[in-house]
Amino acid sequence: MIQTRRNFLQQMTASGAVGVSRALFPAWMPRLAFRPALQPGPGDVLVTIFLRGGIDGLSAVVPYGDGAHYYDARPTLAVPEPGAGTGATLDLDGYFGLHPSLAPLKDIYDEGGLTIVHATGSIDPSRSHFDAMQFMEYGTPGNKTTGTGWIGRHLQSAAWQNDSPFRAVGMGAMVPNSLRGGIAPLSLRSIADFHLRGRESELIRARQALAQLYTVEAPADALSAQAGLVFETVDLLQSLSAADYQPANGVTYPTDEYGFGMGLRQIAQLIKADVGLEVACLDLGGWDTHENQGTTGGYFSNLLGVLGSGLGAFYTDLDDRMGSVSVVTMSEFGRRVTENASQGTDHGHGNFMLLLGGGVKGGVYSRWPTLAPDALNDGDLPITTDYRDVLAEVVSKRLLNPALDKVFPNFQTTDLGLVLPR
Amino acid sequence: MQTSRRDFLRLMGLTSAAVAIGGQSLLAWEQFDAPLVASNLALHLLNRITYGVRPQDSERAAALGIEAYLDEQLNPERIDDSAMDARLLELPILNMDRYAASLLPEREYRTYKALMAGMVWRAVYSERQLLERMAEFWTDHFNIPSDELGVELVTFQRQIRQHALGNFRDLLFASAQSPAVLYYLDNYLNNAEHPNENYARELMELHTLGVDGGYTERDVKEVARAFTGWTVHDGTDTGFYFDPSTHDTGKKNVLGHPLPADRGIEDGLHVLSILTNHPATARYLCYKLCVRFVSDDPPSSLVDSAAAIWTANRGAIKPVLRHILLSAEFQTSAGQKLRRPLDFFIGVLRATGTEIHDFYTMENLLLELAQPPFGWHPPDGYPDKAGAWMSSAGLLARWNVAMMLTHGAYSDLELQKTMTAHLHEYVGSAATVGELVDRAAARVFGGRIPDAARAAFIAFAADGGESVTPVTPLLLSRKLGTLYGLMLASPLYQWR
Repeated sequence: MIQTRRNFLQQMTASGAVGVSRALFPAWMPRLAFRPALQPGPGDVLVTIFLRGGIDGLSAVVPYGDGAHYYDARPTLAVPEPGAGTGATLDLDGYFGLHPSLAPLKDIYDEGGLTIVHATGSIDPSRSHFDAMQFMEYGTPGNKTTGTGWIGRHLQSAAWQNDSPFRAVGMGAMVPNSLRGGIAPLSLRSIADFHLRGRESELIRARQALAQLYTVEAPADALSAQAGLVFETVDLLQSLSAADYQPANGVTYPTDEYGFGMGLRQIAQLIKADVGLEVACLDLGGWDTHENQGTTGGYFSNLLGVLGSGLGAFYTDLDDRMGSVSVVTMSEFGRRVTENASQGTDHGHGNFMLLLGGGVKGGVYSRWPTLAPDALNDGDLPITTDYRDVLAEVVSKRLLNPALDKVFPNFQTTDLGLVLPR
Repeated sequence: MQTSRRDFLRLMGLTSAAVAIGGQSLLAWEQFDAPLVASNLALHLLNRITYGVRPQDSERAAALGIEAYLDEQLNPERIDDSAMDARLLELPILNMDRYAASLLPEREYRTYKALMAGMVWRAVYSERQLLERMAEFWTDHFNIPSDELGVELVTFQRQIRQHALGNFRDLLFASAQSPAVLYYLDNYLNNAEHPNENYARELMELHTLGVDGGYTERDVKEVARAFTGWTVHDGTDTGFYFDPSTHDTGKKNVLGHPLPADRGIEDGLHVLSILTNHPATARYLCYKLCVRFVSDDPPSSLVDSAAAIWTANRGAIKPVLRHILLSAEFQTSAGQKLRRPLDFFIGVLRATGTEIHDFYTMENLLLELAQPPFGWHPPDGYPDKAGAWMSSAGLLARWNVAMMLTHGAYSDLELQKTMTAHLHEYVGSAATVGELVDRAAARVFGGRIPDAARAAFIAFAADGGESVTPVTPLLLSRKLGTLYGLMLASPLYQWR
């Protein structure tokens, strides 16, 4: 008989050995014992980063080559052309450049580890954060009643099995809409804090009582299933010695108030621990810059610095393992081309996406419509590349799930050649 | 072949969330035997209209009978709440007008603190429990995060409380002219030259008709035009100001109703009337009330009959609530609602008699549970259905908050002392572990619990021993807090 993880846990529970105390659960045990069941999918680990609030893509990935169209529309906010001294755009390809706060991404770009897509996004015209985020996470622009997310449908339609509680992780207290669907995703705020607290001397018995009360061995409903997930996760995390994690290559993650650096650090830790992680979702919010946005100093620039240094640290920390990791960023919409009267930008339409990993082709991909006033969509950057085409390529070529009709229903995908087949 | 948990979850994903969650919801609600209340039905009603059943609530319901108890709660002015009023003197900010509140130093943080503490304290201590439940319902319905609007929310909250059991029309009209709403949904920027559709859209999608209420994108544009000039001005008493110079005076058409040209504020008032009286509004609001008070997937028979009562009473809230809570559909819905985190937190405070005066402690616990009041950013309000709250981090947070509060691990020493004293008082002089568990369970659940759950609690408290195990002072000091914590962390407590 093959010793399954479930049997193993049952025996452990029967003998009272699944304890909360570190001593009762040797660090080596879960990884060895669970190894066969914790095989992730055959493809890359997917990390999605949602930039909530609508990031100003025209300041992050600067179309300086568009000349007066860009600089006239942004008299106080435009990022200076490359070579214009401190605070100048970091040139990428002679037309687009990176905001100087994204300098860590410039190195990755030069190595060929970063593909940037511009003038992309969700084609629904909504300028409401609420609707636009939901559309983007469901993967069905314009349809609010989908109820499942594109990643949830990917996991549900994938041909392989993965019994790990870490198969899909949302970093945060609540499960993101993109993960809704076939499987129960784990929500995780902090690896170090993910354990049962209470009176030390009573914890083992308290845990046994909870396992009994929630009937975790034969879950009767979704809540008891979650309880089982909590116990498995606590045990596995215990074995990772979370507090002792040392990133590779002397990397330091940013310690920002949004928890972005901490989130990336924990995702890196889970990837390296081989606990069966297939998808991790992380947010960085605060991009709704209607006023006093700043250019190369100030609020926006600092927040962009968190994004750039976080992704840079993650890339360097994972090192060779980035060869089987795909990072994708997205935001519900871009911002209006013309700056407003409060030195800020209002809700717009098209935006950029970043693809990081060993499997990307590199370069900037854009069917750039130009920022000429008559080329715009209601004053906003048009969308010339559907974001679903970008994601679909990652799903099919890097995650190795061909069921694109399930992941993006009622959508005919187009291959853009952004990533290499795995 | 045995179904593994993973398969089970996969299967569940294919069914509707409501079925998956509601199915076996409570271990055995029907086994609930509630000697402290008149009947199971009374316990069920108390579980839905209060934030946690205390012995005095059960006694009151038993003394009056279900219908009279409900009528008392529906008419809160009949209930003495002087202890609550006295406690609220500690939060004078809640009574400030917007001018006074705007002068406060650190006004955003201080108004937020007062709003949070006011909501928590009232839910824990007020005798007018249904009023508090409805205030929370409308706070979610007209959701506004406190971020930069604490000053405006103080006034808006007073309006919500004033009309919470009154008429929907009054709530809607008050909201449309509230600076909190005008700012949050951008209508203060809405003018003839640059119409802003944000309020118009959310007014129909979230406040009245519902997303399937039959309006079109054209209606959104027309409603936005009708509300041009509705803005905020500090020179008026309420902050609301209608600016005729920025109003679009052209004729409009909203949901098939023509609005003549050359009008002013009447356009917006007319739209609010159209929306108040629209059948989709009756149905959408009744659906939401049924989701809040009955189940996540309420029977359409109940939504329909409630909507008929709504229409017949022109949006009066009391008769609709009374109808829903006395309906046959309500009676069979016990155990089908998951306590939301805030609900859970307040329930823990009520069950344990814990007093939290330190705002940081309160805020930290609510942040850990991921439902700080006035902390939901999108305009749709904290989700009501169980699916949104079924997360591993969320469940672990509930367990830990229950354990920390009951065994006194929190740094707040005063809290620890009062709570420990209360827990001892509730179990009295139980001689055996069986008695101890029964008394604690009566306090937490308002009645007796299923045998399987009782056995698990006894095994914990007696270290694997039997229910006849004698209670010693040592056992009490080791077990009592965690026993309460376990009860509050149990699935029995998460469902109500």
